[in-house]
Amino acid sequence: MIHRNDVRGTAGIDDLFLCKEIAAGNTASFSILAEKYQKRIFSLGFSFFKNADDSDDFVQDVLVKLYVSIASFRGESQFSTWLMRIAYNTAINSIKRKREYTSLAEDFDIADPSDNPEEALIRACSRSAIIEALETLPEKYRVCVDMYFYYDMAYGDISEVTGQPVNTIKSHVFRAKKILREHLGEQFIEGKKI
Amino acid sequence: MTCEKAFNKYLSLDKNERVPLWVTAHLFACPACRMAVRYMTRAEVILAQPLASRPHALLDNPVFAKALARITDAGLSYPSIAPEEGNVFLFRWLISGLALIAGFAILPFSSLGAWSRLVFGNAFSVPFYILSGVAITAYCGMFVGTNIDFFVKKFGIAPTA
Repeated sequence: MIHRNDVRGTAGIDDLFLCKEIAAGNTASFSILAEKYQKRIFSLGFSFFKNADDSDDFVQDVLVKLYVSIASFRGESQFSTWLMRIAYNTAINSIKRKREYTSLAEDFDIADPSDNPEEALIRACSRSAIIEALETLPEKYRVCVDMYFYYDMAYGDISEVTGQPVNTIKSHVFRAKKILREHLGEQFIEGKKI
Repeated sequence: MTCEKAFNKYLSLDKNERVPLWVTAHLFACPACRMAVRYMTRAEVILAQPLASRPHALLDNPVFAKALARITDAGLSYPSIAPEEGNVFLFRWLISGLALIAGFAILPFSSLGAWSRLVFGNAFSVPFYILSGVAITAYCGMFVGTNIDFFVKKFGIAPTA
């Protein structure tokens, strides 16, 4: 059993183990899991609700749903994918949701303060490439591109969360990657066509 | 092979998907593509960094506290289950395992073993010892598999993926 004082040494504990601990009534495990994924849930909420207060409420809703259904998680898929599906469905069904999904690249500054100047430049360059790729995409596919680049999810996981076909996701991400490659080429590999 | 073809293949790959050998060979031979791949990889890592899961908990997080309060108020909390004493379940597994080994050791000297030797001759011993080995290995595997949480906690085994 994990106790309140143990939580700072829990980097190696896997999510399935934490889920079992939570289902056995261990609140400290729930706090570990919540903290681990809270930023992701908040970011997804921000893309749908576009303000911090509603996004905080959204995080609470997702955490409550997560807690209630955690005993049913069997580890058949990755925990992060399972959690993202709960979060995505909660956002889609929320009455507070704004009509358009806004990409993290467009409206949410998630710059990392630890970036060095070159990393900051790569981030800015990537951001503009993603914005360009998203311009012609319908709302339901924008979230897929975000999930690939910002949430670090594989095509199959994105498909599981959003219900979109893998090949459709793959083609939209491919297009975004091509634009990213062009932007990076112009910025960093001067005089060479890549 | 053109750079375009190799790079398109590279771009179509999924997260953590293995790069095909022919693409690797092209990258090895083409500095421009190699540099482009290096920047693409860095860009993807940099973009995913801020939302990467964090390894430690902040217990005084207000959003978490509110969510927990809602769960408690709604009476949805899971009842706390006292953990089973480790040495109790280990003792049960140990006793069962010793009984299994003792059974396999005694069987050839019992009347059943004598009858089997009489009927099957030398064809009895080798399959019997193979069966014994497989059964004991399977038992050990089941023991570790069903008590994996105990071993993870006890020996601090961290997941590699």
